Amino acid sequence: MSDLINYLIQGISLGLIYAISALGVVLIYKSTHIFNFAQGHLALIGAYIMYSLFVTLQWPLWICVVLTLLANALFGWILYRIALRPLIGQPLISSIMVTIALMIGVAGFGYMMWGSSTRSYPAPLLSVPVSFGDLALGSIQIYSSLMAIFVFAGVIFLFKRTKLGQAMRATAEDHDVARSLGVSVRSIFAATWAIASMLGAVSGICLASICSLTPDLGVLGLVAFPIVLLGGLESIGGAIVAGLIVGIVDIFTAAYIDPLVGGEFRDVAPYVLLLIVLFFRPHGLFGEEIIERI
Amino acid sequence: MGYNLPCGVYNTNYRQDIRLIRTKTRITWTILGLAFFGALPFFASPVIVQTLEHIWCTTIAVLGLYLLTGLAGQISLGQAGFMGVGAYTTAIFADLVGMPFWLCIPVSGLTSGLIGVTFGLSSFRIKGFYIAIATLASQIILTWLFSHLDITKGAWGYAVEYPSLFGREISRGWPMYLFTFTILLIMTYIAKNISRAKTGRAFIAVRDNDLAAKVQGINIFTYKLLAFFLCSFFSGVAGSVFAYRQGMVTPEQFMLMESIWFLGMLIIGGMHTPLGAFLGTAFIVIADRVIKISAPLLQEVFPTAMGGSLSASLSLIVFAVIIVVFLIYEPRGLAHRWEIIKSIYRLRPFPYA
Repeated sequence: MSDLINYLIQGISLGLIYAISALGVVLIYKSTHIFNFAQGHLALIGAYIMYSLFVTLQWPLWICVVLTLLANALFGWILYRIALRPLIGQPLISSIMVTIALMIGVAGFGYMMWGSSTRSYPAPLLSVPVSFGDLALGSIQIYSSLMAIFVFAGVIFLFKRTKLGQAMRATAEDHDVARSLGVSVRSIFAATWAIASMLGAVSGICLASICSLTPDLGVLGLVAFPIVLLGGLESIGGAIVAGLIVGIVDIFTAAYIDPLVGGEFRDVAPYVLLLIVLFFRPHGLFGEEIIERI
Repeated sequence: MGYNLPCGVYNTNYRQDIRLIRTKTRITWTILGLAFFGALPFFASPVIVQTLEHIWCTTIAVLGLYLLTGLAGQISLGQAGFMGVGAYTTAIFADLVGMPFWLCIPVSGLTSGLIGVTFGLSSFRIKGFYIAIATLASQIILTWLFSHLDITKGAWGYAVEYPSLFGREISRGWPMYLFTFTILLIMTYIAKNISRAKTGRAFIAVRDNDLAAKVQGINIFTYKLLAFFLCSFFSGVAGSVFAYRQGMVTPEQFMLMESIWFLGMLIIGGMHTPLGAFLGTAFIVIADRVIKISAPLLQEVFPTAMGGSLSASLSLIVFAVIIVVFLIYEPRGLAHRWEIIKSIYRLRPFPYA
């Protein structure tokens, strides 16, 4: 029984981290109608920048976090500026292919700068086991869950209460109308990419402190895509719920199904789940049904 | 569709209209081209011959993607997975049943096609990004199956013997080159004819506006599934040829990255004509060879800080930059450039007509 609760809590904390990454994809999709395949690799770059600042340069933790977020925001903005802006309004395959190309390019950039060796963060970012009675948890899991909840609150606040959020929602609704009402659509796009890239950095740092920092982290970030589609492309709440579902499924398959089928089924489980859900609900759990007219 | 006849040549009956190669000049060029590429292994160096074999084999898979993405407008990130299905089917049937290659190749294509339809089934109600991710899911599930099923012998790989024709083994060198080249020609013929027949036109209608296509009486469900079937069929055939050529099938040969390369090849070549599949594949394969040779040299000239490595990253970065540049500046690909060059030649000395 305590095993079960343990797995559940682990799944929830992993799911919250996944959800942060998925949230970045949803934000970009909502306002620019581009599906960002590079989200996982933005997380990777964030984790690497954090490593360079914190371990190589040995700066204090809080400065490192702030600088990493800013640097990643800048990185996201640069990607948007050089690759995405010229392609606004192009057909679907262009927008899919350009972010796939960015994904590869960012992965290559990571290899070029930091190589392929395995690293891990030192003390404050290293997971220490903490136990409450029967429950055993990693300290990082607790911190990152708290951070995730904080991030969700921040994003929802941004969307519902601030002027920038209103402008983003307006842009998501209709580019032309938003523009005619004085919203600068281009700067909204740029802001969205910067924010999504920051979210990527947060999830990257959390993932890198739970697992370890290797180029495979970007591939681990691929799990954001089934989450986004599971929740529905346009739904922020959906991304959070689907993130939790996938996190729990992930941990439970690792614990109960992997021994039966011979390992690593947890990597595939989210995709199997996605195909099953899409068969019954083609727009995900909370996605909008699009009504089309000719 | 971009099919321009030379000045003064008119089609006066249907037989002329449906001819694949219309004028005598084109017949001459086709025969010359076939003769050149057919005779190449007898005088070119083995490196060139092997690069071309690789190009022919990959082009078959990209042709399938041309039917699915270029014509029917669906995106597949799972092409390499289906290629793997074809390769493993060939390996298993050739090993356990001893099937000859002329039976093995269509059987591999059909198996791959059926599995493609099975995955396509879940995507018949979904569109765009959802299909892209659903095919990504199929890719990841298939690679997982390759390395964990008993029948595929896991990560160690499955050895495949060379095919034999009339008791003679088609071994490395010119026999294998001609084998891949012949199958490529057959598949190109099929792809070209599908694209200009009723099926291809229905695909285009579905791509351009599926609701309007439905109103005109095209069964979207059937045609989408047919597109998935054809695409997987082509990649199954490609996988089969690949298995025979490589002599060894392992899961690492069919990872997600390969699928992405296929899509990139199609985009760079131009996704609206079969010619694009050829040009894009050749471009990427040759570029990849050049980078693989030059990267270690560059590494010596520019050593990178923080333990990074240029040789692992250069091909990734160059590939990404090439795709982004093509998407922004030439979304219709190399095939379109080729059309422009041809029309400049035809219209000379006038700049345009």
